[in-house]
Amino acid sequence: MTDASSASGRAPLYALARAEARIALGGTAQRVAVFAALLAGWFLGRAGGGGAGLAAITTGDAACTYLAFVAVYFLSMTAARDTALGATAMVWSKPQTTERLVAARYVGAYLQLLLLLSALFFGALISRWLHSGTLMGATAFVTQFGRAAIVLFFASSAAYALALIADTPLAGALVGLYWVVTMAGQAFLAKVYYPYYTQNLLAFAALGLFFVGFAARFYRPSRRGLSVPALWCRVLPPAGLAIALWASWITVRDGHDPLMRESPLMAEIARQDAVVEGVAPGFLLPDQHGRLFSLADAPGKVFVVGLLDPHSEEGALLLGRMRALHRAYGRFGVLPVAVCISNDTGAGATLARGEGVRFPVLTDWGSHHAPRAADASPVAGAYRVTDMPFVVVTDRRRRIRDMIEGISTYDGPRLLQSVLQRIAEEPR
Amino acid sequence: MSMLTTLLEPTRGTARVGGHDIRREKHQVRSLLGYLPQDFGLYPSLSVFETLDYIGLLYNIKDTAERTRRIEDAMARVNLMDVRDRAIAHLSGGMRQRVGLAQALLNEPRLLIVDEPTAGLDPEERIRVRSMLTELGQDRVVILSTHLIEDVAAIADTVAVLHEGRIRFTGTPDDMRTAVRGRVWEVQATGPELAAIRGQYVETALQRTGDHITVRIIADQVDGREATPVEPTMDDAYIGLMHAAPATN
Repeated sequence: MTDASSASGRAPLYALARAEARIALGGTAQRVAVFAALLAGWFLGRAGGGGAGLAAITTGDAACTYLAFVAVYFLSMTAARDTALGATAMVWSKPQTTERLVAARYVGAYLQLLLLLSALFFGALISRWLHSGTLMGATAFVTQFGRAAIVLFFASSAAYALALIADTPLAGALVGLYWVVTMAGQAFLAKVYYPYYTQNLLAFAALGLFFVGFAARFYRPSRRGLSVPALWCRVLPPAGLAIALWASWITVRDGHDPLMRESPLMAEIARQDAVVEGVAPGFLLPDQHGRLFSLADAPGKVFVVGLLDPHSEEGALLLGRMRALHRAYGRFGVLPVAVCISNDTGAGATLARGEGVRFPVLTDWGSHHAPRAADASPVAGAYRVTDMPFVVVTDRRRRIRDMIEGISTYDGPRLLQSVLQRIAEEPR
Repeated sequence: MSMLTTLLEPTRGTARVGGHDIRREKHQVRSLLGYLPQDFGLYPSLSVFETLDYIGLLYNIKDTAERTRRIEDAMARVNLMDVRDRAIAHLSGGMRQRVGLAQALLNEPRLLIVDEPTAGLDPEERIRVRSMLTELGQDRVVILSTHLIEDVAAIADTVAVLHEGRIRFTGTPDDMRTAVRGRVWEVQATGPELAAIRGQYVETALQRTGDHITVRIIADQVDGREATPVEPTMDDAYIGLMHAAPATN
């Protein structure tokens, strides 16, 4: 007779994770959830805009907001599964190490979340294709899928670790509570606390690693006897936490958030004032490729500066309008410049990719929650925005010649007339 | 049993399984033993084979072919081959118990610990599980915990009786019966006499035939009644031990 483990080595983690995933995959609930995700994706994919940008952002936002609750519930229950089924004694009397079992169980459950996420995005993609007849800018879905996958990783790992360590799924619900607080507390919570903003993804991914490592390291520590925990689960908790704190600190240090720290550059931008016949307020903001752009970089152009919310259909429609102007009148020196007002610094780039635009789509990284549009970002403040979307048309000397807001920015002849007038008055 | 299977930390003292300390060398102990808990849950969505495959991975049986061989061997030993692809949710209680037994055999353990394996089973299934345990006990140590004394008589070579965490007796089933041999009696009684007999002696069984009641008792001698000495059963021996002298550590 042989000692099974010494004769056979260690079971590979992927095989364990696959087996863990299989435990729930066969369930009816899982199939229903996948179908529901496909259906939800179908509706989300119908978002407006000429390209897939807005559909991708909307799908990503829905995944980060609502699928996160599914993740919290699912992983909390996964953590308590053995207790609920009475399988604890059978499973934990086996020679598999605690950390591998904890990690495999998490990975197996997370793979199922990714399946749901894939179903959501697949539904949105198919819907987008069938409703618009094109898959232009579909790579935006990839970006948003990645963002949502990281957000779900954080939510699920935190819920899993808390439920596992406390041995009750109720502890995992604390993460759900955190989500509710962030959704309701935009007026008093700094941006750094939001897992679903692109600029915070590194910090929350690291925090997710911390939670997985923490659960693996500290769950049933007495079960190990004299065995030393694996290196990864000794390193991951402090390393994950350190990276999370460092990344958060960098985000705060280099960011602009009236609730935490104001950037001198952003404060200076906000101090400007836009008036007709006056020089358009300047700014230095990153475009969709990460390069800094300023109006001064393009002298002699007729600027069409559009301030928009990349999460809104109006924003996508304005961007589409600006793209059409660029195609038609770019050769006459008309340069559209979109400034995205969003707390999520990645939304603008996603919208630009999704809409297939070639002019600068800038991100106002000083955006923050405010009841008045003019208070929502330094650029919005400088341009005295009262309603979004908002467009300013300048002459070739950067002086403001027209200000348009609301529906007229993307619908009706006014914007086109204003641009044509500029071209007529100031031919090259 | 929970301590031997390393699930529960002893408050003091220790034990060794196959030379390995249950407090310090938990991993080695777990590798040596197979354990069937009394109340255990299985994952309802998995089939029998998938369940055993998962448990095989928990035993660190890395090689797929080797794992499959052991699973099929274990399923054959407990007569589960016919239901290998059936979902656990659709198994009877007896079949689930056999899956529990099969999972405990996957690492070909030198020590098999089974906790109340026949509890809740119908008589036919109980006899089947007993036979399996008897067969398994031929080439390994089986520690069986049960409150069903007839299981012990049918399976065990050695019996230890625990009461309130202390050992009352260790020996063979025959030794156990010998401990009360000559002290087991059958007494005929009427209904009104029954209370008096129960107050005076330790009752182990009672049989009613019409108006006649036959009471089985344990006593050094029976005063003032007609009593017939009888051969002790395991039930008599067990109850006799429970009412005997204080336990030893």
